[in-house]
Amino acid sequence: MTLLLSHSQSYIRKKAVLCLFKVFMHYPQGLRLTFDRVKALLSDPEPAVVSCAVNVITELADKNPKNYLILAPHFFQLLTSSSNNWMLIKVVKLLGSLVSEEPRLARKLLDPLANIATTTSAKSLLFESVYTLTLALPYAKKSDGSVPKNVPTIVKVSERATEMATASHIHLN
Amino acid sequence: MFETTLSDLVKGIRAHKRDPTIYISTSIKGIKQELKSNDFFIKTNALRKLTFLQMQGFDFEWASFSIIEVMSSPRFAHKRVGMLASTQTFNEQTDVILLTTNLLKKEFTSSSIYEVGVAINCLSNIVTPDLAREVSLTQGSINSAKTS
Repeated sequence: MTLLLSHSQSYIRKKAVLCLFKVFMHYPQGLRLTFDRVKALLSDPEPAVVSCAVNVITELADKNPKNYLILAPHFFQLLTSSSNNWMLIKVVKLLGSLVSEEPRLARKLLDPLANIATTTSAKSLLFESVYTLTLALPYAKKSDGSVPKNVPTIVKVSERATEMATASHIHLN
Repeated sequence: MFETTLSDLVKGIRAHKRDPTIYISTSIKGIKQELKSNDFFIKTNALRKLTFLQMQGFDFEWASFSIIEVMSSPRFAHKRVGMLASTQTFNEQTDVILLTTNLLKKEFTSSSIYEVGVAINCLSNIVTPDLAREVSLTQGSINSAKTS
């Protein structure tokens, strides 16, 4: 099964990695044996395959974030370089589940997330990035108790986005 | 033998709008006969109808073995119907699932990407702890063979 992860056709690679998620659900020990291969797919030449791998890792990290902290730099890079909204949503979600484990990550995330929140036109991505911002903000304090300079602007960004969302909600009703 | 197709079945059910139960139970009888046939075309056709009826809320545990037979057909068109039927009817308690292990493993090594794809799809839908261990174990043995 895991041999398929290095199949020459991307069509198979993406299907295989998604299927592995189901296999891991039923057989968690399998995860340990094959995780390196899933990790390798994150640098696959085919964006669709990377997207699927991100998907799988996001779902796994939702259950047990600790094990995926080592992947944080890689995802940080995806966050700043990717233009695929659907994948960005997943990356943002994943990083959101990691911040509670690694407070230093929270400070690094603030700027790129605020950037996404202000520039994106997609409501779903805006929602996810603001949500993750609210998860990250409590951890943003430095060890000496001071608050990073960019925090007030970021709070304002989130506030405006939330206001917009509630306003349109009221309008719908 | 002249068997009815899936669209005939649907039309028949619609024609008996008042009380389709009798029509359906005679159809199921027919399907049972067709599944006993040795011709894969007839079997596949029967499974197609069975899958439709399954979606109407009928239980088809008894057909599990026939489903596996169709899944192992050499033709892709048959396999696909078999795999769809298995994803619909199999559950954690289905004991014949273990029979699919080797079948799926064989499909994974197929040269056609669509055959591999449909097998992956099927696995993800019917996977049980036992099946999951089996498909992962082969990897472990490959790894140890590589390192030694």
